[in-house]
Amino acid sequence: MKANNRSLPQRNRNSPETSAVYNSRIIVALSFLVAIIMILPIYYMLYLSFSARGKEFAFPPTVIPKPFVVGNIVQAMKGDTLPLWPNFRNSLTYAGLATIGALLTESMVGFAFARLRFPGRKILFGITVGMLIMPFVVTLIPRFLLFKQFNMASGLTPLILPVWFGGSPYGIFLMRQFFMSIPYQIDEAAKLDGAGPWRTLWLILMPQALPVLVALGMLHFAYFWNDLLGPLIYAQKQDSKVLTQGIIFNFMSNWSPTWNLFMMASLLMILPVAIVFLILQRRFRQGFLFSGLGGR
Amino acid sequence: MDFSNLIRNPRSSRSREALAGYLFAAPWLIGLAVFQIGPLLASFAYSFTDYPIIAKPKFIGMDNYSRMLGDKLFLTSIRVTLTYTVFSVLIYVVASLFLAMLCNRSGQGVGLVRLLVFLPSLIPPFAAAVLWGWMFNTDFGIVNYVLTSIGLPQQGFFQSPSQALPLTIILGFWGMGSAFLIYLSGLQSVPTDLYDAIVIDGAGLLRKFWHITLPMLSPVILFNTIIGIVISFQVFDLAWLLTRGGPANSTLVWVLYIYRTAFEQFEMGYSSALAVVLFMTVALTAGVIFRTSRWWVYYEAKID
Repeated sequence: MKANNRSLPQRNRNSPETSAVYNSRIIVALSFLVAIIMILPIYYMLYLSFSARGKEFAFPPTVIPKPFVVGNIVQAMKGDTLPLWPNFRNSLTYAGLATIGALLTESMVGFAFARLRFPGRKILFGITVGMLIMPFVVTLIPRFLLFKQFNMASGLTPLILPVWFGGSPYGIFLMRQFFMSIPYQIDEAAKLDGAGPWRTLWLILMPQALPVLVALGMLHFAYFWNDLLGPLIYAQKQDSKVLTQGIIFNFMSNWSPTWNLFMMASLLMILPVAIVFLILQRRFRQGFLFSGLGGR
Repeated sequence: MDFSNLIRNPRSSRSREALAGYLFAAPWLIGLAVFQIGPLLASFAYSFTDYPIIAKPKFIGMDNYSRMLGDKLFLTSIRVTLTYTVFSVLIYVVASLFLAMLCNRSGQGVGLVRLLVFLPSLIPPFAAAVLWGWMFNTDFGIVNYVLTSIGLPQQGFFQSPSQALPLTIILGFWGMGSAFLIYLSGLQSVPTDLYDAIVIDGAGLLRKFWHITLPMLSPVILFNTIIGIVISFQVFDLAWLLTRGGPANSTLVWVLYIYRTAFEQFEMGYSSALAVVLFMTVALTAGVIFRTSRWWVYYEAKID
């Protein structure tokens, strides 16, 4: 499945080898340039993170902050007023449980739409795809009022619970496309061995879906991990606040924001997601590859 | 647990399959009703009421909708949102394709370049807003420092009504990681032998792109265009965090205006009407794009 078209021009009759080398040099130079442009905000983030307090915006700016304060890492974790560990735990709970719930139910629903025939399937799938375009503000207020009626509008539950009911239309769509791309013969074989749909899904199809689950899981996790609006509405009590709230509360108070620690904390927050991405990079792309979005 | 065992005496394998279908889809069917369609209908119902959150909603017919036509701020927000959407979708769809094609090769450092392209979209919006805010600060920002030190005039950036919106659009460049990833996977699935064939015919880079990459990728382009339109119409984070809609309402996007009427003026009824119109606009735009797709999207002979 490797589409490596860059190695092909050696066979090109019209352009000799030199032109191929020339082309690939341009491409390497361009990607290098792009990488530099893309890295600018990250670089600036790093710069601010290791600056001393009050020296973040010193004139004239230097390439490396002076002085270079490594201690900011510990300071940022400690927090200015309250430690960030409880927030970290809450973020992990929210993003973790929501991601698991989304992946489990999206797989089930995607499987139903791809493999099981039931009356109304087509129209239900149409509505599901239609939900892709639902603006979040449309459901924001009624959802809040709904949870309020059941006295559940506080804490992490109203953020996690809806996700366990089918995750997102995007995820269902993606899982359905993936299951559609697996040959039916596999199901037939499982059926002959006496497996019902439940066992076919979890034991036969899900192991194959690992790459797409990794990709989707990363997108979900990153979304919940960075979510601010949801927690602002529901997680207002101190003991349920998440990392995004904790960082703002600790370092962005109106009278004296600590910009260096704010940036360091934000940086530390990205770190786990970035590391996982780097490790799973190959599988990540494969996930989309098999999803059928490419060849549909 | 095996659900199929629950049905001891199935009339036929067909009804057993249908039951399994409903059971598997059950979480979503419940979620769809309770968390999507329900709230959508509720919003629709509230849009015909006067609903200050402290009092009960009062039915006022079409008043909210006729009020929109004369609402200068609303008309401004539509203009801002449309401008933002047109240019952002262009960046989201075209620039990310360009980057994905650059990164679609094997070789040293490609993995790193991919990570660097994707990384900025992982920055949480509130941190990104602070970051951009400082970089483009009129008086202390690093960008103005560079500009003035090479002899160019200082710019207003987020404080200038004519620059704030274009700048917000350009910053979207750093947030297109997901489109980039989807293109990358799309490019990987273009069969290599197609390129082999056209190269033997003596085609250069441009013809390869025009005759193979573009048609083979058109379903993915359609997908990214639709997703791009949906997110652009709903832009909120950056506009709220960076400029609060200013200066002079030049970045007052639609969702920000909805947010304000709901959570600052507490006019839930009018805010719901604004949300309903937004929903219809997005649906209409996506529908039109889908309709035109039959002329420009190439599907391999594969029938669902």
